[in-house]
Amino acid sequence: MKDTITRIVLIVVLLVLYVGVNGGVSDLLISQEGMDVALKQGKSMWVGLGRWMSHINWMLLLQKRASISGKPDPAVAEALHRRYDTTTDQDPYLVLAYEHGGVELATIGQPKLGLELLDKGIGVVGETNWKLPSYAAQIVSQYLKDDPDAETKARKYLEQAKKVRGHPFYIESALVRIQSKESQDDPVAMAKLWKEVGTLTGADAAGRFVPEGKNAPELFYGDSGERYSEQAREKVVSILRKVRQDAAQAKDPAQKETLEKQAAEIVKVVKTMIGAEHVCSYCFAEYQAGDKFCPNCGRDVDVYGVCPKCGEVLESAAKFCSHCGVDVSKVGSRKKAAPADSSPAPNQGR
Amino acid sequence: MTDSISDYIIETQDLTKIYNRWFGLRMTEAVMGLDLKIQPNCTFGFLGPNGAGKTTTIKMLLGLVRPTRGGGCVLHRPLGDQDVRKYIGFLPEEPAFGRHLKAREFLTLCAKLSHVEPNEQRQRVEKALQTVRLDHRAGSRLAEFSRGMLQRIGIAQALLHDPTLLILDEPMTGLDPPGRREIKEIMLDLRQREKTIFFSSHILSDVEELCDSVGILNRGRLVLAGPLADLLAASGVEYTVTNMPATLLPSLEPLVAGMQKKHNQWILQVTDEAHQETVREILKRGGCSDAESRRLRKNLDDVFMETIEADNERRGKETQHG
Amino acid sequence: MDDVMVIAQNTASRVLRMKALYFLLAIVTCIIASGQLYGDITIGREKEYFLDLGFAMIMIVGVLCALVACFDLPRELREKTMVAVLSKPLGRDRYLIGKFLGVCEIALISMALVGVGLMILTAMAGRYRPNLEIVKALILIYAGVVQLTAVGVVLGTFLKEWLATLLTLVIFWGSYALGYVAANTEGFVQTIIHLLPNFAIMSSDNVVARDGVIDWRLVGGGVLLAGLYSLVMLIVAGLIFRRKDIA
Repeated sequence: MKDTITRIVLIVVLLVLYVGVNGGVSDLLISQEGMDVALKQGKSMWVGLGRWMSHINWMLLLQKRASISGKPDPAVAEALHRRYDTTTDQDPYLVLAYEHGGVELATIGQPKLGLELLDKGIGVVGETNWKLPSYAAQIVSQYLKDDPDAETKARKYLEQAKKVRGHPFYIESALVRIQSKESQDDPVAMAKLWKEVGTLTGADAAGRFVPEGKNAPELFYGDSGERYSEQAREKVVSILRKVRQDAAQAKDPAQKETLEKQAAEIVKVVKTMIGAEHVCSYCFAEYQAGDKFCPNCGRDVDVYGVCPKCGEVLESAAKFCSHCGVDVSKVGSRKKAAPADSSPAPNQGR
Repeated sequence: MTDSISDYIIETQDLTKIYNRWFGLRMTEAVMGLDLKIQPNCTFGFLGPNGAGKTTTIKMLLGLVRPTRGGGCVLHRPLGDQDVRKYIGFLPEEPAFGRHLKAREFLTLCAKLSHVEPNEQRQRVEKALQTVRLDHRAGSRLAEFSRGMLQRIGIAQALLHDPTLLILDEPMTGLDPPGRREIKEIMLDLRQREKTIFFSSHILSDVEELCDSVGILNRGRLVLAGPLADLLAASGVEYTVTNMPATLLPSLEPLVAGMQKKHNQWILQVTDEAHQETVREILKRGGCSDAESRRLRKNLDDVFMETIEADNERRGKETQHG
Repeated sequence: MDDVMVIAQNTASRVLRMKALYFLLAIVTCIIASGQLYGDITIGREKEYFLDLGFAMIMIVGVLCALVACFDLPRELREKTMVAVLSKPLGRDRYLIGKFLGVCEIALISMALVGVGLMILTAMAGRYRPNLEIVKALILIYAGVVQLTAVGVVLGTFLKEWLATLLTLVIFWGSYALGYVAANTEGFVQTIIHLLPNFAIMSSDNVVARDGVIDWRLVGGGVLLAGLYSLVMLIVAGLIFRRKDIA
């Protein structure tokens, strides 16, 4: 009897210890890279075999897809959708399945099923993947035009894609395209629209990453402290150039005056979008360290990035002039340093 | 437990096992209120018909089965004590051991489990194999062994660690006559070496040959126990009369327990002490003074059957009245 | 300890003597090898496919080995082998520990064989190299298998083999599923879930497949968990088993 009690006490003590260690291990497990995503949903039901079963399903899917051509029977399309659904149930992070499945179902005449699949994917990886919402927007605006809410929906998807860092600029372009239907002919309104769409949001605005890839928007601070996509600024600048050109060629003085007024308005917009970089005060083209004239319009610009003593152009991160050796650490370099990044690799899902 | 260490090797008080099946809806009384006392250096035969509870009792003694009530001591330690098993050799009723093992491997394994000193293990195993005459099959797998050979291996593993108490459950079953003789010889040898043997059997002739004392278990209750000599003690006289005149028969008939004619001889059994003198007188008067008389020694078979039948009858009545 | 090791060795050798086991391991290795053939249809994800398949197979092997614990105790009881063994001075607790260690040994050997197979196949694939992360993930899978074995021993002490096996699998499935739920719960509910064996550690192969690095602390924690849980389960099993009549 005494022995039994000792054992029960021992069990309780060990279990308390176990619960403590288990809590710690579970937290550590979730914090492992690649683990967080696996913890969310679906996976548990398949006792660790989900991904593997999903692989098998995925391969069967690839085989099935090869046999489908043109626009098959709705029943066939539905069966295909079901298989995509199961596959992504087993491995919710099989992003390829959402991407391929969404587009494929739409092209074989089932845009709604495609959208359903993409929605499921957006629910899982929407915060890190811009492709799924962008495909969804495309399906909505291309295949579901008859829907009265099509435009709103497409815009919602694009807005979501825009929040994901590393998204390409055509997301912004598509947003502008949707919203510019009435203001197509008004350059000032267009400039304002580009500014609005070009305002960085989500992870980009938080500035926690180093831009990567040629499509990635470069970051800079605007006057108001907001960040704008560089490509958006270039769009506005190009509108400005167009208006100035038109104004220069205009023969009617009244029209010329209107255009110049518009140009002045656009200049105001551009100015709010300039951050740390050095741009020509007239045409807003960017120039390099040591340039004395704007490479675009040839006007004088403020020289920067040179040795204050001998005028030699400095290396961007140099502390001393390579020519005369003077300490230049207090002289502004080519660009204001972007805020340092704390978490380097962006988590892109797959 | 009593403070004074008892003299008995095995001692039980009110040892009872009731099996509850179906959460107590069906109860089987396997052993009821067993009081056993076995002295050192004694060979005890534990008898009883099938299902009497012999194996259950043995398992309780070994601590394999927990008693429902009561308890006892084996080698002066309470039932179920682990360390005391070092001094007990046990042969199970159905010797089933790892079939994939070779005989020698199995015995080595048993030697390790019985805490035989590592440097003695080899020697003990070989000796045990020789004792049961299986040394020529030491390298064969147990799966290839016949029932009788398994029984011998079982005995070998029981003897391996040189125990003071041997508990053998049906050691003779499954053996051929030479095998039985060998086992008997082994047991007699152990007896000479002052080991205590507790064995169950229903081969009564073997028991009669080997045992100092017996206990008879029927339907879970110990109905008879005591030294074999006492149980089989004379309780009558047998007369062998040659050429007895037939005229004597009517006067003898009411007095004798049994009469038998063999050729020209009559064998008369008189169990009642009071009639013995009268019968002798009648025979003397009838001119049969050559009658040979000898004390009647009971047969264990008869004692066993009588006891079991009497007990069954009594218990039958009890249940009827109760 | 000698007698415990004898029981363990005997349990392991009985199973490791079965040709069927090696047949199973060979088939499993062949299935993993077939992962090399996925090649092009995986659209650039062959490493992930291959490793997932490998780890899944090793986990299946481990779980099957753990189920031996469910079979072995009822079998020994039924075949009356237990009567002979338990009449020896070895106590029931030590017998259970021996059984547990024996089954762990079977699982270790089987999983190590397939694990080495996985490493060799990984090296043969050429595109990616076998690394320490695979070993870490295997250790964590083994930690899960050890916990499952302990559960199997407890259930094997009082249930029939099929029932014990079924219940062990249900507990495996349930705890696995709840291990994921635990991440999203708090307080009391989380504590209750944390009382269950932690099988979620077995899915650390995800990290390997995604080129991540498994924290050594996680490996240590997993091993510690397996040890603690096995200890608890063995004490529980002992409490149940000591009341059992070896009829």
